[in-house]
Amino acid sequence: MTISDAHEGGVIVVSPHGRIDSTTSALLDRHLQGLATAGQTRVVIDFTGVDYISSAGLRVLLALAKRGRDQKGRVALFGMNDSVRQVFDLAGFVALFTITPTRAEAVQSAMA
Amino acid sequence: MPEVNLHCTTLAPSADGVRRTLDEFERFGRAHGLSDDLRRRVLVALDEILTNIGQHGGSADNLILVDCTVADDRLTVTVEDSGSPFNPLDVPPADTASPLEQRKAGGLGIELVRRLFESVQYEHADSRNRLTITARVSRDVNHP
Repeated sequence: MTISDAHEGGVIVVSPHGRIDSTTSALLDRHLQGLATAGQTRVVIDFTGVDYISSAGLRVLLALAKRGRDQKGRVALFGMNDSVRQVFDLAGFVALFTITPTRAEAVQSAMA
Repeated sequence: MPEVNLHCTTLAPSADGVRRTLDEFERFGRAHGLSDDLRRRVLVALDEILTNIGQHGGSADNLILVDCTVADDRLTVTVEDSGSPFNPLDVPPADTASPLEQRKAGGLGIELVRRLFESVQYEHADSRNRLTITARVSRDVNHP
């Protein structure tokens, strides 16, 4: 997995590419924790390059959501394929996140 | 379509073994034209099952065998290991409904396996745990 960041206004858009599973989740977790440590609390995750996500990845996102709540930050997600969306549905994660159809809406939500 | 098989062996607990098995299934799925949906569901399940064995049956000599067969439009994936008897299907249902404050991620992996497949079966025989998942095969429409 590779991860790239883009800044849009006061929001950081994090784009992981590849699979988010037990073999890659620690990398994403470290990346997101680094942003939190740096005080970056408005985070958008771009899923357009993500093939699938397993529970190891869900754990990382749950930690992101809890940090976001603690730091009074904003988190939004967009660009999920059907497989990623299905895992979010089955795990009951849809209720925990703002998930938008487009990047622009995700950035706007994280800015609000 | 003729019957096709994939056999992998790996050792638990081994992150490299999990990665290698996922890579092998990825190639198998693409080579045989499995749909993205089915390929990804199996990759999620293999990641959950193999990491679970690593956590519960994690001695270095616990040889894990992964076998995938496509025949008669059914995909069967069997994961066997020689660790202590452990039925992952006995794990209580995961919390998928609490609000963020109370939400825990424990048990989500096996919950996903249970919900992603029509059939998930466990047996313990010959001192080995055997978990079998089956699915109807859907194929990539672009596969020759």
